[in-house]
Amino acid sequence: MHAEVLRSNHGVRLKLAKEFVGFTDTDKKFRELAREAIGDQLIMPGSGAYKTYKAHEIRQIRQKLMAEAIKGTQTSLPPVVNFRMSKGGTGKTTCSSNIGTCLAQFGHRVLIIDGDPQGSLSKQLGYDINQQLTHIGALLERVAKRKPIDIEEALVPVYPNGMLDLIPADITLANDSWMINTVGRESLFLRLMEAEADFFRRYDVVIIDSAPGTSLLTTVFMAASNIITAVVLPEPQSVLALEVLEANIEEINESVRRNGPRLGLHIIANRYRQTYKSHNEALERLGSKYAPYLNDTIIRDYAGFLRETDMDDYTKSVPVLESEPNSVGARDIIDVTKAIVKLYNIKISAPRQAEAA
Amino acid sequence: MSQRKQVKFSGLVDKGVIHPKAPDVPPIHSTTYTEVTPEAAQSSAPRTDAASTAIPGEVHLPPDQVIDLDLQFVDDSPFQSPNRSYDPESLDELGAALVAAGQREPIQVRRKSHRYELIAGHRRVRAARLRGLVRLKAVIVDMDDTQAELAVLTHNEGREDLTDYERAKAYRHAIDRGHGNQKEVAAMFATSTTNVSRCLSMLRLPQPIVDMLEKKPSLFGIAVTETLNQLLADYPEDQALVVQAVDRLNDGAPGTSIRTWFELMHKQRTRAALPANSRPKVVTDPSGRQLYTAKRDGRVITIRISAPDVDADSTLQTLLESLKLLAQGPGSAKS
Repeated sequence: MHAEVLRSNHGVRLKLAKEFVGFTDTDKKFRELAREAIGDQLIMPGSGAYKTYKAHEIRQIRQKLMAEAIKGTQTSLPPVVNFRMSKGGTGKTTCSSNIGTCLAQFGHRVLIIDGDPQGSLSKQLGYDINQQLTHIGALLERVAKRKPIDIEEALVPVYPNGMLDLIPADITLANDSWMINTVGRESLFLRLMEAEADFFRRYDVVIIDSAPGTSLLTTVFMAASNIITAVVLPEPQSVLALEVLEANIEEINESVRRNGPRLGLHIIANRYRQTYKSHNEALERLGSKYAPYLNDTIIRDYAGFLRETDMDDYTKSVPVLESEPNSVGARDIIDVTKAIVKLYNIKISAPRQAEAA
Repeated sequence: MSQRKQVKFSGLVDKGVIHPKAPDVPPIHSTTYTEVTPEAAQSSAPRTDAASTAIPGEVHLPPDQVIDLDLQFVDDSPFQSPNRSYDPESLDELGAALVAAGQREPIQVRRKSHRYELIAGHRRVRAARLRGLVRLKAVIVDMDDTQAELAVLTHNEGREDLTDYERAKAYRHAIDRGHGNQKEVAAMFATSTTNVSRCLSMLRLPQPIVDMLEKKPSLFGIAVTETLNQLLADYPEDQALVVQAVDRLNDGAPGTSIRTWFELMHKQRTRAALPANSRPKVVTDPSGRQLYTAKRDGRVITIRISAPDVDADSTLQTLLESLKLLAQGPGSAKS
């Protein structure tokens, strides 16, 4: 495991913390609740300055609030959210990293997997990929060849306390030639999850950012998910490309999922500008064809998403929710994430022994 | 603020920005209810046949009897206020209540050329249609146009949750339709003339405020309207600030805080408009070197010693001396 936590200094302020916990009473009562759950609320006694709430702290507050409801719940394998689109540049990576951080900040434990050889998700989360790393392809290869797996070794903690862990990727992930002769390759990710069940049960949700296009690896990830989340621009090329993705889904439903639950589709419209007539036209087309699958919140075009990645030093990259929590972009991400929590039935489990201690 | 409001797909459809066709894929989360609760259905079961076999317009059904009415034969009343708005959220809640608890009161309709025209129940009919209910319990009443108009206009008056703004619109509508002056309309709605005129004054508020009320009729009532009218009369040039004060109510500020907030802001603005007070006075020595700067902010005077070689202690002594002289001047004159 990568020793250093990438973003130990994350957190949200009181207003958002209350929203994430789902607390509607007064600020004072919230601080009292927080004090019971996580301890002191003032950064320095007498300073009058209140703290920001970190992901694991919000988790503890929610666990305290829902103690009765989640008592004794069985931890099962987490749902897999696969961000996928046949066309490139639609914002899959932006959505995965921001929705991932947002889910963690909601108090869920998140494993986020970079499935794109460009490694842009890893960079966006502040990980410098110019170093020795174990990517998801290497792990899957070991599953296929029945070799022992050390999944912890691949892990990069983004938020402390296991709230957000990353399996990064670099260009070597592009080599999938080993997969060509693998029997039953579509189920490889599921097999990895079953083989490492104890590891995966630590998380409430697994997020996979897929590469654009259609390759062996993207199919493996698609087959691991129950609902594919497509990120679409309200532009003709992008809407048309969705038909390719639909064909991919159909293919999987006809083959791997012949007998199992069918693969569903969930669509996020991204980078929308209300003043563009063509955006409205494309959205109308999108609605005419896919309305039931469409996330009701549309992510607006927002320059803050471009500021996330630091071009000179990846380790200085900051997700929107941390750097600009009151912005239009953060608002849209929060709303989309709330819908995803519902759609994928993402839960919070009761504190484990180790966690409670 | 409007920039912060999220863009929803459904919102764009509602606003008419985009007009998607109904998709031919099956919806994932379809919640279509085609029946009222079992109890409601049971209790009205025998009458269901009567209603469904009756051709609308036929006079078989005695008036004032509760029947299950197919909503496809029901039209809106032409007498209700044309710009009456239906809040989609509250319609949704009402629909949920209709499904969960059943319908407590029948809607009222009257016959009109082979169809039914609503007297009371415009919201319930909309809520039912939203929920996919096809029938509602209804009472058929016998009314001519004048009676129907009066009934539609006054029907909601007794409702507890009707806001002052909604009342104002109803009064305005009644006056516009020629039901007399404020006094006569007051009698028609069984309320006082004062109340009518106070409500009507809400409609004469500046347009941005009326727009806010249109969006959220429960924003404030006649008490706040009175405060606003006073403020607008006292500070006619500060209408924008009054609008701002009202906008705070959208964020949950109490209506009673308007005057205090307005006056505070107004004071701050007028103070900011007089920069002469806060401009520092500079004292220099004959060569033009800056020695002291003095600044007044309200009743606080700050004196800064700019030159490093000036002794601060002796300066303070001198200042205090002159202050003592100042204090003795008028004081000694008094005694």
